[in-house]
Amino acid sequence: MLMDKYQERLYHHIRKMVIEHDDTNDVLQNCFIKVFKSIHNFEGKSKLYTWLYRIATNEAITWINKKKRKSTNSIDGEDNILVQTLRADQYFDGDEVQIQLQLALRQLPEKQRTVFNLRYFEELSYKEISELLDTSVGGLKASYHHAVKKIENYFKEVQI
Amino acid sequence: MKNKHLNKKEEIKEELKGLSPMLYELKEQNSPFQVPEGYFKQFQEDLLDQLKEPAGQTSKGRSFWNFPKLLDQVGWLLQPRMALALSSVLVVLVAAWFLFRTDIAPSGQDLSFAALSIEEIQDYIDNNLDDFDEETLKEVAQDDQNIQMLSPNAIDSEELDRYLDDMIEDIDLYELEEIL
Repeated sequence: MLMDKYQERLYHHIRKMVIEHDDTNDVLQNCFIKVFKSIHNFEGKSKLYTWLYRIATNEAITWINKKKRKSTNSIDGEDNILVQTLRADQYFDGDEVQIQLQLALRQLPEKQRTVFNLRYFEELSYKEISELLDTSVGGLKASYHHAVKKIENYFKEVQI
Repeated sequence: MKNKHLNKKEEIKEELKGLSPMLYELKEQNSPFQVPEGYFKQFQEDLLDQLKEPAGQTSKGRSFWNFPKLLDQVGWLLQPRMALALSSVLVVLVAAWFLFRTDIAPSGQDLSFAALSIEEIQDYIDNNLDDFDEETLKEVAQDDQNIQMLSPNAIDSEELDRYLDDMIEDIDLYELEEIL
C-alpha cells in the first residue's frame, strides 16, 4: 500500500522542514489527502516517490510560510522559540550541536534549505531533486554547495 | 538496483566529506527526530477515517468551528497590524451607526410624542414618577410657573399668615394635641 511504503520517508522529510511532531502530523495528513485526491493526475513521467516528495515539500513550504505570516516575532525571537521548542520536545533527542544545526538551517533561503534537506537528509540524487523542484542540476549543485558553506560558517561563528 | 542506491549514497557522502568534514561527521549521528510509538499505524487509521467522511462534513483539521483553529484565527486578527486595521473598520462602522441613528431618531420621536394625548403623558408621568431623577424633576419644576409660586420668595408674608390662620381654624383640637 502507498502509505505503508512512503509514509515514514515523507514524515521524516516533512519533520525536518517543520520541526515539531504535531505540525508534521498535520502536514503529512494534508499531503496524503492531496495525493489521494489527485492520484489520477499522476502521469508517471517521474518516479512515484519524486511526485510524492514534491507534494510533501510544497505542503511543508506552504505551512511554513503560513506560520511565518502569522508570527509577530523578530528573527532572534524566532530562534529563541525554536531552541526552547526543541529543548522541551519529548520527541527531539538531539544535543546542542543538533540544535545549532537547526538554527543554521533556518538562516538559509527557502530554496537552499529545501535542496540541502533533500540531498543531505533524504539522500536524493541531483537528478531526482531536479525533477522534484523543476531546477537544473547545475543550479542545484550550486545551491547545495552554498548551503553547506553557509552552515559551516554558522558553526564557526557560534564556535561549537 | 541496490548497488545503484548504495553508489548514490556513497557519492553523496564523498561529496559532503569534501565540502565539509564537520557536516559529514554530524550526518553519521542518528536522527534526533523521534516518532511516538505506534504513530504510523494510528496515522493510517485516522487518515482513512477522515477520507471516509461524507463530502459535506469537513475534516477535523479543516472544520471552521474547530476551536484551536478558531483561536488561531482570532490570534491572527489580534496581531498589531491586523488589530489596527480591524479597529479602524470598527470605528467607521460605529460612527456610521451613530450618524444613522441621529438621522432617524428625531422624526421617530416627534411621531411618537405627537400621537400621545396630554392625559396619556400625565398618566405616564404619574405612574413612573419614581423613575425620574431628582435633577430632571427640579428642571421641570423651575419651568413650571405654578410651582415657582410656591417657592418661599414668591409668597407674600401676609398671605402666609392668612393661610396659617385658616389652617389653624380647620384643625381639630384633638389633632392639635397630638401634633403638640
